[in-house]
Amino acid sequence: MDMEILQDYLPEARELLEKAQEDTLLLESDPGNDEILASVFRAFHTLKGGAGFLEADHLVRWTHHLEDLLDKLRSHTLTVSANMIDAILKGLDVIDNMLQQLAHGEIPAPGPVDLGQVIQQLAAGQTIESGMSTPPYCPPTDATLLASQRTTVDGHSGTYVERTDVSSHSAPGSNDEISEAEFEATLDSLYGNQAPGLADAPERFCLTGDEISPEEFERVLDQLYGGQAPGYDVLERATQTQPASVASELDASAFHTDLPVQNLDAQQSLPTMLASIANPAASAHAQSMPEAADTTLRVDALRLDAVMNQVGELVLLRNRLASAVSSLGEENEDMTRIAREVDLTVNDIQSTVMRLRMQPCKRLFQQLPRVVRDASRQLGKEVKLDIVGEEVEIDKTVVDALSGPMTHLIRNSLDHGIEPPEVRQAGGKARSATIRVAAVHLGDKVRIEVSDDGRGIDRQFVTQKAVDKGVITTDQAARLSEQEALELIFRPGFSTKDQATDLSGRGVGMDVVKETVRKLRGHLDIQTRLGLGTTIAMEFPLTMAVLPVLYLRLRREIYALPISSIESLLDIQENRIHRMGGRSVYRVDGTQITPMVDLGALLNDRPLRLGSEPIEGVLTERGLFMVSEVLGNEDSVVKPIDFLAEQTWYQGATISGKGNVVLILDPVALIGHSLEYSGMDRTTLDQRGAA
Amino acid sequence: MNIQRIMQVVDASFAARQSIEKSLREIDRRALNAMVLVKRHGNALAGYGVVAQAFRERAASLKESASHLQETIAPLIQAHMRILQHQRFAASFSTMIQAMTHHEQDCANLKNTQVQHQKIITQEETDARKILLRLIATVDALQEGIEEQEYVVTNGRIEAALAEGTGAPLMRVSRDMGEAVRTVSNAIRTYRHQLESLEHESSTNI
Repeated sequence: MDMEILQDYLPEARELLEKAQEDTLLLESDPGNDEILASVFRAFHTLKGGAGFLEADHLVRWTHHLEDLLDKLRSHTLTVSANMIDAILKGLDVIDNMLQQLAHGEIPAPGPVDLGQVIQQLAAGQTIESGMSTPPYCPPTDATLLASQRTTVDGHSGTYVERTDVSSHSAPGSNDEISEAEFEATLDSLYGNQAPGLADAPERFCLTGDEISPEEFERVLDQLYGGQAPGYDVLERATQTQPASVASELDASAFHTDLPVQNLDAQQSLPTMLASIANPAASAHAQSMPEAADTTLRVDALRLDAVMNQVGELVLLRNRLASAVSSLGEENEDMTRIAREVDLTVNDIQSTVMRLRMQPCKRLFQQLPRVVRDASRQLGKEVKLDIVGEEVEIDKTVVDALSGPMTHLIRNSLDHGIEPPEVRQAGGKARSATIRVAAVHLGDKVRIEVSDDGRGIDRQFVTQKAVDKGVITTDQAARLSEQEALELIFRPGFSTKDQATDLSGRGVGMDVVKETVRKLRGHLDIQTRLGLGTTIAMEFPLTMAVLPVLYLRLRREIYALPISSIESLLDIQENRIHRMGGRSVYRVDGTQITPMVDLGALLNDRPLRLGSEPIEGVLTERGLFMVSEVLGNEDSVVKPIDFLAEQTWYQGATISGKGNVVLILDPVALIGHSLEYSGMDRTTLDQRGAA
Repeated sequence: MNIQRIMQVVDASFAARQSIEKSLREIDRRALNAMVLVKRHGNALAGYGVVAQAFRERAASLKESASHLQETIAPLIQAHMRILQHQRFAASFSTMIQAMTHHEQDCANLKNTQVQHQKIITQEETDARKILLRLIATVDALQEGIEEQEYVVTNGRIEAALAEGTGAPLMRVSRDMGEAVRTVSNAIRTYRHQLESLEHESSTNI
């Protein structure tokens, strides 16, 4: 297997597969759409062509079956049915598996025989139903195929294949249909027995009439150029949409060289000859559309990761330079100016690299219609999926990592949230439920929401289930706030179902969602209204390359907190500190009371003493942290500290402008630990009291 | 000048320093709050980020100036304490001279010592006045810094108005910054009045 071709093929194949799946789902609602049919057909055709070069025979065969079916749908010989959509989607899954095998350097194994047969039967069966039972007419074998290079009036050039009978080449009206044997003979003369993708060329090439089908034409082109034919896209698009008009534009007299393909004896001879003939026109054509060819570039993600890491190091150096220059004092104006210019330039580089890694959420959402379709059918529910904000861009890492969690959230919503149609109707709701998936920009964050208009989450039921399953104790359940009770669904091992199904009930999915969000430095929020629906929102930083942090001092030690988690900085006032349920809370204003965490007690084992030492407050979304002093902010690069235990209250480490290693605190983990610690403390005290 | 007056100056200096330090800490916190807000909104509030950074840098500069204030207060108090000490000595010699006159005795050396002390007092008063003027100059520098800070706050208000569409509460942040600056400004103005009255007393040798 040629690894270079494989590296080019795989990403393109995945894109094609995603597009084919999206189009197939669209076909379900718009079965007669020629454009979509042509698009799916093209996807299978291109997949097959590439697979042929890789000698992945089973993939070639599989895509060939699907291509065959799509070809008949495209030509309206067959009409789209639900069974066909199912078969195509399952066929796509098989191709996905095969691509994964290719990615591991393995030759793909054969696809499932039964599904293959179903696809073939669908193609063949429908042909019989539509009255095409007449055996195909195969013409005499003395006809031949002529390839010619022509130029149209507008200067575009292209290769044309026409059928002709050697014995009566000039006789108009003679039967000049190409037979299977004839086609094979032509290809054999071109490639010997090495022609890729032709393992099972079927009888369908035996057509009546003298028309050369687009598929036949493309097949010849593939053999000639291997997907590199000049003007390939233009020709193909034109062929798919307006074959007649393209034909009418041809100026056969402008340039016409009949090339009897049978007479060519070397594999490279025809392309070479055609190239030499076509060169002037082809170069003119290339000049006419340089932008289209040059504005996009496929780059290995690993290279982008390397660039991102290097920019990270540059950011750290910039911080050190700024710190060193600021200590020089005001008299050194040149250095200060240079440092500021370096700062601006690094910011620009950072922002450019950040944009390189951005991908639209469409990539993340495109699998969801299929998930909704399959799961709603399986559950017998009627669901409409609304997707908003597909164009919102986010870091590639997030897109890659969030695919599984998004699927799980949708399935969970379908299984647990959405009621059966009759229940909805009885409850005065529309029979068809709506699941809404939305992505929105919020400053330096992107918020991704999955919401449904189902039954909502019953907090008491969730708490009771958690106690029953041993996830929490009865004492802990009694102290839970409403929000904390809701968040139990993210605990490992928690499920409201007693028996697991294909879709949910194992108590691992939501836990994985939470863990993935945490690893992506995101924030998870859940809002529910009983009987009205649930919204699960995830917020992620726009980029993973750089993390803006706030440095703080805790006595002699310096720590950092991610700025994304900070709401404001406060001056701690003693009269606002209270005790509630064994926990310290802080009254921020008339409406907000938040848990209070003394970082001195947590990290130094020595509480900060208000009044005897300087104390400042850092208000985060989850609680208020007491620290000695807030020092300032900086853009940092996170270095993982995976040598520590799995669950720590550090997100990682960074190097400050002064060159010191600083630990980055995880505010959610700190607050969670603090609340659990205070709970345990109280439980222990209660037990002691009882004893 | 008596000991009470010096104690009043000491108290005023302490109160002013406390107030300035507290307000500067407040300014620093406001600036950091603004920078956190800017960072959380990505590039949309970059303009306000520059203002917030300038606000914080000015606050640091004010803090530096305030520390010089403390450096000047101590020598001033020391100088006045020495003046008091020499005034006590001079008064004591004067009492002794009066007592001797009462007994029709005359001591030239005693008179000479009293004159020497008067000269020392005059010298110390001149030195104290120089220190006081230096202190007032430091306070003036602080006041100039505060005026620059007020200018930054005005720029912040303009940026806040320009970035109103982002939905970030920048007007409130700017208002908070302005209030913090006003608090420092008031504290410094009060302190300056006290120093001016001390200068007035010093210049008239009260």
